[in-house]
Amino acid sequence: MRIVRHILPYLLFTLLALSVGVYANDAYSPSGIEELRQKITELEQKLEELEAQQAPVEETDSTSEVGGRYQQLPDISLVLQAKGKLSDDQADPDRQKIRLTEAELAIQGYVYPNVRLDAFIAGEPSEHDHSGFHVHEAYVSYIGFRKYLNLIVGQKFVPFGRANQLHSHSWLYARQPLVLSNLVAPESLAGQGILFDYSLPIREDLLLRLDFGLWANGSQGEESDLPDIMVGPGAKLTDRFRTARLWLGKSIGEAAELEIGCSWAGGRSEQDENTGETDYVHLGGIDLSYRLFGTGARRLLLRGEYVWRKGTLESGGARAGGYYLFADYRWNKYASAGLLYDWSEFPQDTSKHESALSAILTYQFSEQYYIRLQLVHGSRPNVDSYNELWLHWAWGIGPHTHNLE
Amino acid sequence: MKRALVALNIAIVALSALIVTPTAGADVNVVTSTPELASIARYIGGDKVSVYSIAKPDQDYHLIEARPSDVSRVAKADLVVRVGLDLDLWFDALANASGNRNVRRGGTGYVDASRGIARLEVPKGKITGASGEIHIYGNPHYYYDPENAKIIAENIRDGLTRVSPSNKTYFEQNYDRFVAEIDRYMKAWQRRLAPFKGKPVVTYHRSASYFIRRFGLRYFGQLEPKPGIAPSPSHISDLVRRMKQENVKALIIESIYPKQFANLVARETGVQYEIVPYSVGSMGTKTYFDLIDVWVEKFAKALEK
Repeated sequence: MRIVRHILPYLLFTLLALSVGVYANDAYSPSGIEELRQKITELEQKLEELEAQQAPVEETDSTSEVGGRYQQLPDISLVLQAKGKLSDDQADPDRQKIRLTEAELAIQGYVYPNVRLDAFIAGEPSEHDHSGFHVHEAYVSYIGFRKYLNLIVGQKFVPFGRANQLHSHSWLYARQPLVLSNLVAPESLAGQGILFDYSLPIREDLLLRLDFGLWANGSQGEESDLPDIMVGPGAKLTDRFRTARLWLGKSIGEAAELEIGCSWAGGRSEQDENTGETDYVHLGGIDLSYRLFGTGARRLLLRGEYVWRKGTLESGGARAGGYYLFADYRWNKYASAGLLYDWSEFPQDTSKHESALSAILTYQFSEQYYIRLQLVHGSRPNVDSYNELWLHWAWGIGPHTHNLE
Repeated sequence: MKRALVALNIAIVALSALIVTPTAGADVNVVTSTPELASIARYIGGDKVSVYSIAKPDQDYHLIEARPSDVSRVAKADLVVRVGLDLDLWFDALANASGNRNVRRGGTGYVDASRGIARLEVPKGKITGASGEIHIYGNPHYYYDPENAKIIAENIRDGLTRVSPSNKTYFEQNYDRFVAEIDRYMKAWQRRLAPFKGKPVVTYHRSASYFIRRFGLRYFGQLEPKPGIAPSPSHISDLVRRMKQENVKALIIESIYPKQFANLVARETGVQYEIVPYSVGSMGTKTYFDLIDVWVEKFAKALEK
């Protein structure tokens, strides 16, 4: 018995040492590490499953629909844009400058089932006298008001042409095509009123969309203040006016889409400062787009738009016209390249015109952050040839959505 | 003016009544946001449905540009099925533009396929742009897990039954067959990937979380530093170092993503990557079962190295 008592501690110690050794060897061997990792993976999976069981999942909503995680709040977002321009045109006061061109605050959400409110408030700090915040758009959409009909009430960029409703951060170029800024609006033609938006599914692969709007208090954004450069005045539809747009979209096979649109707008413009007369302006336009989709994010876009404007006062009621042709290829989700050709007459003097050819490169860091370079070679009245390099940044935070564009 | 407006409205409504013809053939017109959902809807709906997917095979589902003709399809749809979890946000714009109330959220013809899914990687705390293009409701690529396909099928079955109650038994039978087929396939898939339990895997985007969890594999990392953000030199360099250090051999690239970054990692680590189909319809796959079959085989091939 005494011998056993004597030996027992040594025996236990030996067993312990052996077991630690075995364990240690096992734990630090490659297979032991793998086994431990496997156990960790299994435990993590069990934990995830238990967590998932604790919180049964209901149907989820999207941020664009209900305002994200905090369901009492609307979607609130901010998009900033800055533009820099290098130019060899000495008459251009914006040359060799970088400016914050726009800060757009968006508040969006549903106020009632099928009734959605969108408000876009934009600040445009500039060196001129136009800085300050103002309402770009604020409207309520009655979705599915009648079968195939959406009704929109409020202040809105009017559906004229293919690009007028796009906010500048959604453009695929750094500056507006010349024909649009000269004949339609320096930024976008907007009005306060009511819009009937019919989407008629003629066939499964063919959509006919008809927009008809009645507007008042039109606005067209900040006019360029370039004393030595000739610019068009836009439509200046600042009183009551009407718009109509017919748009056909047809899929061409699985991967392509052809869109044809024609637009009209007409109404009274602001009084002439000198004569006090009120002009009556007609705008018309035809646009054609072709999109071909490839794998991943590949997309080829070809677009052309012709616009004409006819007033009764300026230039004796002569008709001014112009067009742009645009091609853009996105080869992956990050990068795209485009070519833009512009040609436009001036409503105030239809004997003069300007034109430009641009090469555009865009790098998309994320859905809400991109940088763009646009190299422009053009000619304008009194300047046979000029070159510009635009640098365009856009940054966004928060959920920001627009209607189908 | 008022008369003209009223006349125009009447004319348009009359015109639409004349030219909008009902869909011939199938009882139920189904529009899905992705080809995976379309494949499952075809199985459950059988010859009672015609199914169209807005996204095409191998298109990045995060970046779908809605087309006017898609509005037409949604306007004429009896049932829409979407992925949800904010993957196919573009679907809202389509549904709104279509003016078809039945297929809007809460309508009888609306199916969010994510209902009932145990979500993974639901972010906790604040999300900012620094988090990348993160989805606030969790990872939305749940459809790569075949067990989740059963839940998707159940949601579709319920949606189809709502819009076509007379075919309830037919849809239920198809659903039962679908579940049985998944179970049968699962045995083979589990067997194929069983030897690789706990093995680390690298992908381009974090699209394989549900698949990896289901088959007991381990996510090691992605080529994207954050979801949706382009690979950066520093991230790739760090990933290569860690892959070498931990002897990671499985590099899987989803078919839609650029290959230059994968080539770089392959060159630096000596690991040969495998490409998996992003969609039903890519790399020769025709059905949901084909898709998962190729995934299992490609993962096994990568892990065997």
